[in-house]
Amino acid sequence: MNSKPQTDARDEARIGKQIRLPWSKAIEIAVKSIKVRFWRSMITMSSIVLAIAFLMSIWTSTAITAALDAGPQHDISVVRSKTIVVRGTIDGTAGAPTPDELKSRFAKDLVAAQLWNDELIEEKEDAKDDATSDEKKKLDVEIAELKTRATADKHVEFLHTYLKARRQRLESMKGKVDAVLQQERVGSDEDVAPQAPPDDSAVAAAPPVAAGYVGDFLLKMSPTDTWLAILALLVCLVGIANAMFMTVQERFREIGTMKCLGALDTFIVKLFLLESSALGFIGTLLGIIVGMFLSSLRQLIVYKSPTLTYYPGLNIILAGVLAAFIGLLLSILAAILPARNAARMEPVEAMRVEE
Amino acid sequence: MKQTIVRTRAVTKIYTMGKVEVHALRGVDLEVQAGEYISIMGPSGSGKSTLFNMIGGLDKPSDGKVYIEEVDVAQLDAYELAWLRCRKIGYIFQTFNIIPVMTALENVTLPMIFAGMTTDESRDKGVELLKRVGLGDRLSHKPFELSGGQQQRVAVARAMANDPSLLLADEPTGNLDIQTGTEIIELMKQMNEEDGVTIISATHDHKMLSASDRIVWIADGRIDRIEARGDIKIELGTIEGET
Repeated sequence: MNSKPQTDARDEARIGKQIRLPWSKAIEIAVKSIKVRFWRSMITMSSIVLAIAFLMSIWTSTAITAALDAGPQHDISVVRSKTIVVRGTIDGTAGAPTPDELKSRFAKDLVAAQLWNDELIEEKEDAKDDATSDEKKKLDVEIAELKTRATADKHVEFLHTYLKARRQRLESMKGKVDAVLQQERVGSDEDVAPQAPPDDSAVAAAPPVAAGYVGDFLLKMSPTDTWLAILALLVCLVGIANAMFMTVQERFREIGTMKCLGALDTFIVKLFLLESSALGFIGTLLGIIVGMFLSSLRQLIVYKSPTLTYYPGLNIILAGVLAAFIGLLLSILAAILPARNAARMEPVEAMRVEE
Repeated sequence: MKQTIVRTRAVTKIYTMGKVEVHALRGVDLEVQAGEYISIMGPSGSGKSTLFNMIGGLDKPSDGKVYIEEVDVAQLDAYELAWLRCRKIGYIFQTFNIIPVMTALENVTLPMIFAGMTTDESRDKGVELLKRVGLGDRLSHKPFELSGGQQQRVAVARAMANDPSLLLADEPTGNLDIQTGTEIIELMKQMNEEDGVTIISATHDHKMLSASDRIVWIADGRIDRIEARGDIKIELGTIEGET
């Protein structure tokens, strides 16, 4: 009899009584599997922590730096911190920006400096009109000096001079009562006006304005940092995949047995992806926190209090969310091939006996 | 009316190892009725394990047919095969294969979860099964806390989880000492008698002879002979110890 009178087996499978692996059970098994191989799981997770911490720290420092660079020009602490940066370039301190980097970062300040310089030159030119010939000669010398100090090749020192002058001006006006709220909008010409050291009547007591723009932590990453971050993530991916492949090989019996109990291939994939995601989730979280704190701390030490005043909270939250997404994606991607490998194991593997 | 649980017809299996062809099975015909306790016996390399894998739906024959409850296993897709393993067949392994990260109870209830039972139902049934195999006080023990014999008991309980019609045991006493092995055989016999579950066991162990209804002797890929229990004269020495 080759007909299939007992079709109930196949019908039942199709209709009501399906094979299921409820999510709660899958999570339970995944968590237990991690706990059982605790230290190896921790090592795998540490690679995610490191890679994501690296990524997050780059983004955090980029965001903070961008925020400070765009900070209100009348804020004495901002000017002070900029002076520190330029000082670092002049002294050649490790980690200080190169002259070219300075040029692009402080482009607006350079423009302001030029205008300020031009104003000074003009003042001196005007003063020549009522001067004696001796005074005229002195003024000419001063004008020449002003012109030479602002040439293109000397922009670092020029920037330093300008920032120092502004700082002194702001310091001398501290405590003056008349406050006119000066809202500075980023990108407008107001903050490059030569009157940027505000005149005596207007001491700006502007509240910290959200400086920088949303997403600048991405756009202002240096190419080196970008490459390093990509590399770190790739190394992490390979490391996780490698560890998972080994785990799958070791668990051939467990997988084969589950299949003999009726587990579908998709169950096996589910289990392994869950394990990897759990590690990825926790590792990513830790990495974000570590990266953010270390970086913020470093910036705080370098730039001091402006870091906190102009802390780019929104940007850093965005960076954190993006890093979380990347971390989770990474851990799932890394586990896909090993999980498929596991799912393809035959149940008969469970029978294998090492003689 | 007796039902044929397993039927093989001219089952042949050829393995190709490089250039060499190994004929593991050369046309085996076998019929197993519901409720029987069958032992497949034979030396290593006789095709015993291969036949076992065929019957259990773990492998497909190169030629010939295998029917489980009159369904041709070669025609089942992965989903249907999984369903078969979940609901109709229970497996017992030489290496016990209890999942190490789970307790005894969790191991026994796992197939029930696959079958869609609720947590409460499965828990109750699992406890009952474990009590039946004598492990009522070890529900939350993990495998490493159990002896070999106890692990195999858990395996028996797990195999019975979804009330299968067929129990397949691959060298169930292979890793057990004589005393424990006898206990397990008795346990399986108990299941066979009380629940009417068909048992097919591939084994070396001569202790299995007295429990079996029929013994299928395999040699060189073919059935050598089939003996019914009554026909066997067994002389086994007894080893001192408690019975």
